[in-house]
Amino acid sequence: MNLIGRDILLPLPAPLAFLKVLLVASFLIHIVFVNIMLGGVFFGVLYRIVGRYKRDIFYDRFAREIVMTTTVTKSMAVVLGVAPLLSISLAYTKFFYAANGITAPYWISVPLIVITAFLLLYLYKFGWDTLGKRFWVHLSIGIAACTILFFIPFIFLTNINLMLYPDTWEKVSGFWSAITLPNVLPRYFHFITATLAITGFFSFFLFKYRGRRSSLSGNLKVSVTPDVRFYLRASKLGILWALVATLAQAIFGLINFFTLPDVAYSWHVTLLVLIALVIAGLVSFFLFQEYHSENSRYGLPIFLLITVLILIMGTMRHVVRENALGLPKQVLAENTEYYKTQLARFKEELPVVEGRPVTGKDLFVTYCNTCHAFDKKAIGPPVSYMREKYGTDKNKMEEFIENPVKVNPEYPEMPKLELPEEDIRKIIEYIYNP
Amino acid sequence: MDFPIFQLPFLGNRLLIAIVGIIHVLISHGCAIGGSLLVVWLEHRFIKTGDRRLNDLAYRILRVLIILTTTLGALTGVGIWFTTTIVSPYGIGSLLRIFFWAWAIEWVIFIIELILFLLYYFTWYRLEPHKHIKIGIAYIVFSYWTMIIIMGILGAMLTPGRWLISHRFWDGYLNATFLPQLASRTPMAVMLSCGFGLLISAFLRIDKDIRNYFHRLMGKWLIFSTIVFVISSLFYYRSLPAIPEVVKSIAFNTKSYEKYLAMSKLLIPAAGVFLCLAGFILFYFGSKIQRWTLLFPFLIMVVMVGQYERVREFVRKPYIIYNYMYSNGILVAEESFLSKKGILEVADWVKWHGSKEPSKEELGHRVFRVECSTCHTYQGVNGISRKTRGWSEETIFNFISSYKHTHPYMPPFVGTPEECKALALFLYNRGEGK
Repeated sequence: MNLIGRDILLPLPAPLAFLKVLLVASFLIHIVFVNIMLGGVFFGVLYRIVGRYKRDIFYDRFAREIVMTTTVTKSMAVVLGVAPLLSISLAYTKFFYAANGITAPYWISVPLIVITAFLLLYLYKFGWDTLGKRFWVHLSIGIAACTILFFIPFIFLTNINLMLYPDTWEKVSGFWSAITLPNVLPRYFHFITATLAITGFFSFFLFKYRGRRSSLSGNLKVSVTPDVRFYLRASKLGILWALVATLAQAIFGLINFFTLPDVAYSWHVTLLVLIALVIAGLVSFFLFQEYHSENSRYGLPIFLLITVLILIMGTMRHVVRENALGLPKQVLAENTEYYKTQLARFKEELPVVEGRPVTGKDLFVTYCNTCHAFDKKAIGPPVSYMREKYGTDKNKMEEFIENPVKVNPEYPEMPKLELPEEDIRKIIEYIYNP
Repeated sequence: MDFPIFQLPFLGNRLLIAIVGIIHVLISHGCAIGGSLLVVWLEHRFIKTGDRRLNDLAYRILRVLIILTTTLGALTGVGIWFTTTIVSPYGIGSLLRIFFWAWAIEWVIFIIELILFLLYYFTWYRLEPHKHIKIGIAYIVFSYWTMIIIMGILGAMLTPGRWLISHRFWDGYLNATFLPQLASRTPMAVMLSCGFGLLISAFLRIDKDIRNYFHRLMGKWLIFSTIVFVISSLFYYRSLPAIPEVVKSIAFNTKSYEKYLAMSKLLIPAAGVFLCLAGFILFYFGSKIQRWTLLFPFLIMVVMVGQYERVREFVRKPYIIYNYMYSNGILVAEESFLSKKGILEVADWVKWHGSKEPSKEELGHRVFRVECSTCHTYQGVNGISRKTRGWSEETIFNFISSYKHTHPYMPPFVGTPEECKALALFLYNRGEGK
């Protein structure tokens, strides 16, 4: 752990515990929006294709309605990401910044990549009717946006994983080698299944809500309007995704768990994994029931259970982070303390602050030697040249030093010295009688 | 210095931050703050006159603004965190510790702003206009509020004042440039909204008499806001830190600093005159103006804002946080300590993947990467190979050892004489036509 070094010397602006709670809580809200946004784009592209091949208007409408929600979700995802970004920067400054530094070109490109993806996404959304006539053009814009958006989590996951293992920093050469560290890929797939599950839940709740609204506002004599039928089917499709992805997530969650490096492991993690599996089982059960029931009845328990599940996952990641960084944090604290004492001791032992130079020679060395040597060209002309130029006219030389102008094209312009006259005279004396 | 070092080839790190920052200023000032004012004003005129075409125009402008702010605007805002984390981890890490609470509050306000923005957009044509406009007014208030918050932080980087001694939040936040900067950025936002408004309208198909009205409106706004902006920015310039008296006695008020301010003081009023002229033309000729010429005010504004921000950055030299931290992340308080101990002793990351027994030149290169690469590239923007043209190794050595007295806008060289020699050798070998 040679590269840990020392921390920033200013104190934290808030209690560490507060920052950690803020980090975990704000991150979870952020990531839910990220999930819904990513999944929304994915469904928006997938069902556009499905709709075309199955020649079923349902899918195209499903794709369209879900992709339109990304106008809100993507903006919320970005804004809500600021709080976790700032709190992780404070609570784990050294580790987070170092990891970002190792993958710098990729980390720096994140905003640019996201801008590109978002602009493509706007084009996809707003071009649904106009560009839609050219199906493949429109679709490839969607696919491009989707592909870019699904690449971005790699950068975040790689860095967030890399920061936990400072002993690997020396070996890792950059982004692509950091991505191959254990646990990055399992985490990515775990994240993707979570995205599909959460978007499944989201579609379920969204279309259930829209269905209820349209059945309330619709014509009461006709009990089932086409709208209501669409929303019922759409919410069922959401449940199906949620169910399948929750089961897949349990599998990837386990792979994720087993590939966890030893330093990150403690019995708390096992316990949390077990609880999470039980809850995932319960969620799946309710989803299954909901899928087969005529009237929707399980919305509330499903909502509460996934909220708990998300909280458990966030807590688990935090426990893993604290485990892995236990020793590195100690090293960091020791290094910082050592550096501070050294700095303080140096200040104590520092001799009385050197006064300003007094003699002509010292003044020359301080202010002139930067650019002028005695008998050869440096940045400016040599002193011998000045003596020749001004001869005995010391006043002329003084005037020039006070207000230098560009004379010789060979040399750069001399900076204006704001020295007291007395000092300038001393320097001139020294120039003539070194 | 104690983090992985990133060097953006050719453009350099400095320019990277500048590009991200200026795009963000243009969009956040022009589209969010000024833009909200413009759109709400158009809606207000619609309510007064009952002309639906004004309502449509406002909505169409808002739609472009929403695309710009949620992609370029939001992501460059976050992008500043991403880039500064890499380019200046000590700087941004320290600022975050000082101003965390300001950013935390800004974040909350920003979320409300975004929600109001989306609400304003999605309820257009759906709510009663006089109710709908209230959302717009709330949106103006919140977007301006975020600006008020961020101004304290920007100002503190220039004029930290009593914070340097007390390290207390409010001492830093309520600093000398806080109000002057806010007062000059407010009309700047209105001015930029004219730039964006005209630019957007150039791409829209609008009825002739509505276009006529819009051009005349923008003409009025442009004249008024430009005049206020130019005057208030001159006041703001007067509040900027002059080279403090203490430093003056040992340093020189370099010419380039003066030239810079003088040039900028000229450029902004000159651009202001042009914009006022454009305003008069818009006002008198209305819809008779060719659409493509509407691009020019915007282009002029980009130059103007670029220069405005450049001055702010330049005045701060050689610091990130005035009098506390140099732009390469070295603390003023560490300077003499590290010169004694050696900079390479505390910069572990430059050894990352480097040779175990580095040559003298390699050591010099490491010093360069730690101390100089924040601002200098090798051969690109502000490249060192041209700066030392024609200088001998000894000249370079003399220059580095004492430039802090003659070139105070550069952070002083920090390191042992051996490190200075190594750096001189490196610079000499990299120099053009040595």
